[in-house]
Amino acid sequence: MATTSVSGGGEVRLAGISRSYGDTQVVRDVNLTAASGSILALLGPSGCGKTTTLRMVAGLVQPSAGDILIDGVSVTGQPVHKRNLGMLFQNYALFPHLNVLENVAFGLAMRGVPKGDTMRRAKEALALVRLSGFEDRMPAALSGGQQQRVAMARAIAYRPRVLLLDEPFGALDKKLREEMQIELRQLCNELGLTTLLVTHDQEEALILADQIAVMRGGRIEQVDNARAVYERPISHFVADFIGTSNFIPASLVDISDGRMTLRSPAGHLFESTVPNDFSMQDRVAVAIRPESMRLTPGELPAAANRLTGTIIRSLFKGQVLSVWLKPDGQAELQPELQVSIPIEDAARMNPQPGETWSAHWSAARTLVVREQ
Amino acid sequence: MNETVSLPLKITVGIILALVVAPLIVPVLMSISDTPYIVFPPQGFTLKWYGEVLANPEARGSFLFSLELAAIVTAVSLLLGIPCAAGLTRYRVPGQDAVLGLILSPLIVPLIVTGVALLQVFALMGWRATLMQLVIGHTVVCLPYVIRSVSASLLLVNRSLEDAAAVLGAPPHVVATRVIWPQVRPGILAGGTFCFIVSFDDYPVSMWLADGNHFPVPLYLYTIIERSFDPSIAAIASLMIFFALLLVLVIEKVFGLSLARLAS
Repeated sequence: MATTSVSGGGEVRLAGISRSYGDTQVVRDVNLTAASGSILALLGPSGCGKTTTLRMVAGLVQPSAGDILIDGVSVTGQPVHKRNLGMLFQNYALFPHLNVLENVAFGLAMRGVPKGDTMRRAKEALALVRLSGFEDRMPAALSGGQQQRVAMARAIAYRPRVLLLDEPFGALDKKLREEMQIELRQLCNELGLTTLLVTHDQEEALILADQIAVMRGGRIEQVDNARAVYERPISHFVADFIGTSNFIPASLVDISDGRMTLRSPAGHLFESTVPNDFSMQDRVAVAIRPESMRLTPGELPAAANRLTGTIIRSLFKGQVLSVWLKPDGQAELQPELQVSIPIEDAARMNPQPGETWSAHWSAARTLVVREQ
Repeated sequence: MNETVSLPLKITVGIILALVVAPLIVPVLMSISDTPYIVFPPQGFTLKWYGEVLANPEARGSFLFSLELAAIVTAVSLLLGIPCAAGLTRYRVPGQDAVLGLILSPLIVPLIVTGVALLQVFALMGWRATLMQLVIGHTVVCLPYVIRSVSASLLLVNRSLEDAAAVLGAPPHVVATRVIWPQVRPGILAGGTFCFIVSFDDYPVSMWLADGNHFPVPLYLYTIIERSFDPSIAAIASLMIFFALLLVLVIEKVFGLSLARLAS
């Protein structure tokens, strides 16, 4: 592998940027900072404004309001071609009339790098993505994964300050996608590139990103590191979008030194020790991950964080058995609960539809999320 | 990629090609007949009719004039057609469909009507500038071909390539020359070629607008058919066929697969 110097990525700061098309506000007052050398994912469903946000950083879309700063310097007024960024597009956007080496060399040539250096550095970039020997191929003669690598080499060949990724793995099959994600993460870390990644795939965001910004309706819903977003989602939307959650409508009845007590309309009590900063009047719900719950046969004495009910169905999912439990009581107030049992326990426990089981979980695994 | 073509498809294509091409062989065969009149199948073999045609100053003059006219018409049509196609495909213009319909209408209206209408307009204006009038008449007829093929290639342009080039550091004029041009070149070439051949072969429009000093080949061919019936007519027709073939072959050779790709 070619030796490379760490280029040291720029710090990207979005200061209150918005974008409207006519009367439609696509991005609303987004404030975000991607630290130098870190990977920040913009995660959200389609139409949440994440791609528009990325395109504003690239300069392909002008913000209606706000400022974009790289290393503290505003680039908002700068045309695209002067921003010195690298970008990966959804469909790779390789130039079909140029061969692999010419594609990779394009950015260097645009910077007036002498021809000899250009070719040397383009070949180095190809070596970095393990595509040496493909220099003379045309893009159409490459597989999806190889095209992805060429696009990657093209984006990093001139050592940009910031790398922008727009759903870069959408077109690849699952196995290849995972491979490329790990490679990309390694490459970004090796080069110390500040990376902004747009994705609707929560798994991809969790694998790749240091920080995840969950977007919804043009706004940032939550920004935190991958683990925190998964373990402490602040809203129903985030808890639902990242991973799977069981939601139980409930209202706060008590908050005292790090412990919250909630009651559902059906009268069940829940306790949470997960840190958050809700106050008594906030509209909230209880969210529990399927893998946080345990199942015990029969009924258990009533207590907080316990629900007894009837098994409705179970589904084998490879590593886990998913079991749906219908809690006893007033039907309309009791949503079905999905519980994941590790497959090694499933055979021993063998829960059957129609049987009565109890689900229980710890206060440390009881999430309290904002309702919309 | 290399897809295998099924046998029924091969046969169908073969039949279509035969039906299109076979009639073209007839005049070529008649032109080499060593008889003082046109016969088919040809009797004997001679190239003297070609010699006669090429030696005839009238025929040569018409041929050169047709070349000149077609070249001017192609240049004017490309000059008007490329910006027009770009405007119609890349921007939202009020009355877009009406403009496109108007431009393409000569493909629907019989050419002979277009020709006589133009003649009346020019006559009412009291304008006498035959070359200009022929150029205008042919351009009206040829423009749709340019607009159609250039629009088609512009619509196929992958816009994210332009974004990619800009992000990579290409200023707008470099994006235009290094990214957009290679993608639209086949469409422009195809449009220009069609335009040249349509103008070169045009009879119905020229018929109304030409005069003795500006006399395109198809008109000349028609007048000598009336005057005589020897194989030199077939020789002129053959020369026109060869010329069109040559044009397509040269463009195909120089610009590779571009035409074939556009047609697919």
